[in-house]
Amino acid sequence: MRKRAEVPPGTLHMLILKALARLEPMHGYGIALHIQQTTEDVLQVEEGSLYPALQRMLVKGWLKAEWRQSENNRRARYYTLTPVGRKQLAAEIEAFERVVGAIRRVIQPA
Amino acid sequence: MSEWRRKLAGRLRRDEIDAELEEEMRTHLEMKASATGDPAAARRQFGNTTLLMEDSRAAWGWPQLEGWLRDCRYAIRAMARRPSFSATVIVTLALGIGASSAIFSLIDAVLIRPLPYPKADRLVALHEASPENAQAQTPVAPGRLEDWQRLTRSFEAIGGCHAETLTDTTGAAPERLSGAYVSPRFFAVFGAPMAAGRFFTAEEEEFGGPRAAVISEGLWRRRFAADPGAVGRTLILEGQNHVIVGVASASFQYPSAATEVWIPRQAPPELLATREARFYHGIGRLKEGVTLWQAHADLAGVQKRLGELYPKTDAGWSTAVEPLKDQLTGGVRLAFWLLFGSVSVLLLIACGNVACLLLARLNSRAPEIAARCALGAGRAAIARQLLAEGLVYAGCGGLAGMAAAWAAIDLLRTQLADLPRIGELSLNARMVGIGAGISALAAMLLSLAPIVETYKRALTGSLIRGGRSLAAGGQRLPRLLVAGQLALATALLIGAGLFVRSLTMLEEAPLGFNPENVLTLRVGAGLERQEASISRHQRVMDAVAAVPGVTAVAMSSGLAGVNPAWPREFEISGERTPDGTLRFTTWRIVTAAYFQTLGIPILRGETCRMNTGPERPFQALVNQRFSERYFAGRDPIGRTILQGPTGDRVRIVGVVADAREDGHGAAPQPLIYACGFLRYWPDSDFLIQTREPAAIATAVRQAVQAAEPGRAVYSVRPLADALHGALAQTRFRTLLVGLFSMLALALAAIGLYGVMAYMVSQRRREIGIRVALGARPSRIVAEVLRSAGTLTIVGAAAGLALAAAASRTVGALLYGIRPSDAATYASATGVLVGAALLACLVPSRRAATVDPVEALRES
Repeated sequence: MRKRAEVPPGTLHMLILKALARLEPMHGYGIALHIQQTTEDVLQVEEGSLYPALQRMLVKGWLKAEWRQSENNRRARYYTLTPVGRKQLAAEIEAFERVVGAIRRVIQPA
Repeated sequence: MSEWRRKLAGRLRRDEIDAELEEEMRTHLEMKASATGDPAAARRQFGNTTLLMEDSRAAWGWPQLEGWLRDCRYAIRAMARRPSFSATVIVTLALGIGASSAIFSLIDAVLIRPLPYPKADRLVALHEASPENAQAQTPVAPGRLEDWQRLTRSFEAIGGCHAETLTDTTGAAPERLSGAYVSPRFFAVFGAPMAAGRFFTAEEEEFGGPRAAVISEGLWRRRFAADPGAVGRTLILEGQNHVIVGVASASFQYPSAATEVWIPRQAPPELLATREARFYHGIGRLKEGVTLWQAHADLAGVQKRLGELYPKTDAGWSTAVEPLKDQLTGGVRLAFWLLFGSVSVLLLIACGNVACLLLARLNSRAPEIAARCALGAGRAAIARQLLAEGLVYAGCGGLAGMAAAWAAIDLLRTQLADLPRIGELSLNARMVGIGAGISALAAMLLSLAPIVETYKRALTGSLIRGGRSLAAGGQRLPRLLVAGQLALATALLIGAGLFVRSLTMLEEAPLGFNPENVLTLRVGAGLERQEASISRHQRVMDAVAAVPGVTAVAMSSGLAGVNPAWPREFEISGERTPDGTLRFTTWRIVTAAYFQTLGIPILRGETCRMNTGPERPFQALVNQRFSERYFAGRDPIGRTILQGPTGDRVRIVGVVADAREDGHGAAPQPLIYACGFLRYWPDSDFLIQTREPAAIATAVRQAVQAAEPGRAVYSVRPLADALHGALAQTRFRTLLVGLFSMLALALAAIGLYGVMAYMVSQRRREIGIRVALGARPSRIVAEVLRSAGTLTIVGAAAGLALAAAASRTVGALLYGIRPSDAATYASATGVLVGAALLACLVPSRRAATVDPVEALRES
């Protein structure tokens, strides 16, 4: 098993938004799975912590939620992005890139 | 939908949200369990569901706000548990907040709020000025006003008005109305909407045009019961029909709140050509974007050109422009800032006092706070709780204080009825805002000390000890606060002392005339021909003289000591000044019996003979100061004085002693008493000498009304009352400052008492041991007193320095006393020391009577 890293603080929202932008609608479990698979298990997301984040994003109006039947016939809450959420995703990615770029410049060998 | 509204909506379906969340998490676990086949691992990886639920719920709330509310609820419960402590705190704060809310609202209404007219910041007052003659500001001549309007570029409009009493004979009995004669464009300058009808047309404003009137909202209600049909009705003013064309709105109060009717002056051409008859109070509205300085430069340039055009009348005259608001309130500004200062000091002392009380209580709460710290409460959380407590106390104090301030508003309005704009003082949202703002400020001020103290102790770790055996160092903050309160109280006491002494000096200043035994009244006159005026005045005087008990009757232009004498140009015949300009002095127009009626001694010569015929010259008397200034050593009797630019001649027949014609506080000025009945002298004052002024008032009024059935008789009152009234504002202001200083002293003394009592109670054990070891009680008492004495001396010294620095700014409000008056400083300090001693009485007694056995057993 590869060594797992914590999600950098403040990026959980971005990961969820991005996951939804690729594949919506998705339920919470789906999002968790998706993040794990796309990061090839490098990033460890404590699964429960998705839910407070999802609630916060609902409050901010980035997401919409709807109860539907899942593929294996369970009732599940499906999330979709709102236009505000899309804009927020772009903004977060841009901010993240800036930070990462800056850090990379610092740690690059001169 | 905003986030805020979404949260509110979420609040209503909180249970639903919780249930959905629970279901969602459960589904997640089930999916995971069926995918991996290991429910336990799934649960482990998921995390703590209860905590996650909490976290999710927090997303829907306002965690900060909810924290504050929780702290406030806690503070309210804590407050209710200690009713007597809380009552002390709340009453103290209510005093400070109530007094400052009332005074701040007063200042807001009078000084700060814009005048109630559209774009009021562009309204200015215009004056003529003659610097060479020490005439800072005079009214404006009507002809010059028209020139200004025509030639300036900075003003949208320039106008003016002068107040006049009008006799209204519309009804059965003649009534006196407070009126204003207005120039063209007067209402256009203000641009205020009318309650009904319209303002004047250009035709109505010109000489010979139809006669129109605008009435006040008050008169409209009183006379016409606010009937819109009043517009178009006719008023008979000064014997002339005037059609009411409009009703001014209630907020329109220029030139004064008392003005009931405005009529166009309709200046005839000869009056417009008389450039020396200055009587309009000039007003103007600046054009958009024009600054006061630009307008001033523009007007000054125009006046300079007029000076070249009319060298005889306009040269040597300049102009002055100031914001209309400053002109209306300039006279009271300093006094208001004085009240502001003293009430702020009172508020500071109240906050300091409460801070001391809270500090003392902090000690008993130390275990609770220590426990909270131990359970993980951060410094910010503790500070928030203390601040919430402050807010709750200040909120309660603020509510009680606002209630008191509302009650005080009526008192302020009646006591300060003469104040400009006082009618605008009312209960409104601004006042509530002011009260809330002051309360919030107080909350912050009084929470500061406990927060600093907990912070400091958290650093030293002394919270745990529960403050049981505080060293003297723990008392430093409260002692500092008490010294500060004592200092502020000393300064305020000194200020109040200065004002009280100044008022006494004013009231006791020798007037130079005897106001007792004199009844005064006015008869509405209006503008009329001089010959008619003479016979009419004579008729009234004869009627009054016939009333039993009347020993002398005189008339004057204005009441001695109440209405200052008019400044006017003069020239001593044959003594032209080198550059030909006229000098200014004050004039009063009186009748022969004036000096006898008021008891002003005639030093040389004799009183005048009244010259009722058209022939010149009139006779006149001058006061001693005039004689000394302008005749230095020569005999003025028999000399002739040319009056003003009109060249009327008066001959001096006597010299009288100086009297304070301009009021209690004004030293006598050189003054000419011209004897006669002059033109433009509408409502003269009748002075009636009698043994019992109040007793014959009715008889006199009836006699005058019988002689003048068509005129209003008003302001019937003893001269002594009028003089008393002239000092009413000063007296009330002094009373307020005195009251504030007494409250401040009481609060500071209570503060000192609190700190000393606390110190003694904390040191009971130590005192007990010392007494048990043989210390004499007198020694213990001396120690308590020394501790209190240090505080008092430090406080008083700081207060003296503060007062010395601050009192210079109020020097202009003082009469007959210097701002550095040593006696006042000494007595104020004495009063403070006395109060401090009283405050220490109980604590030192308690210290002296500590029973060692009891004190040792207690702990």
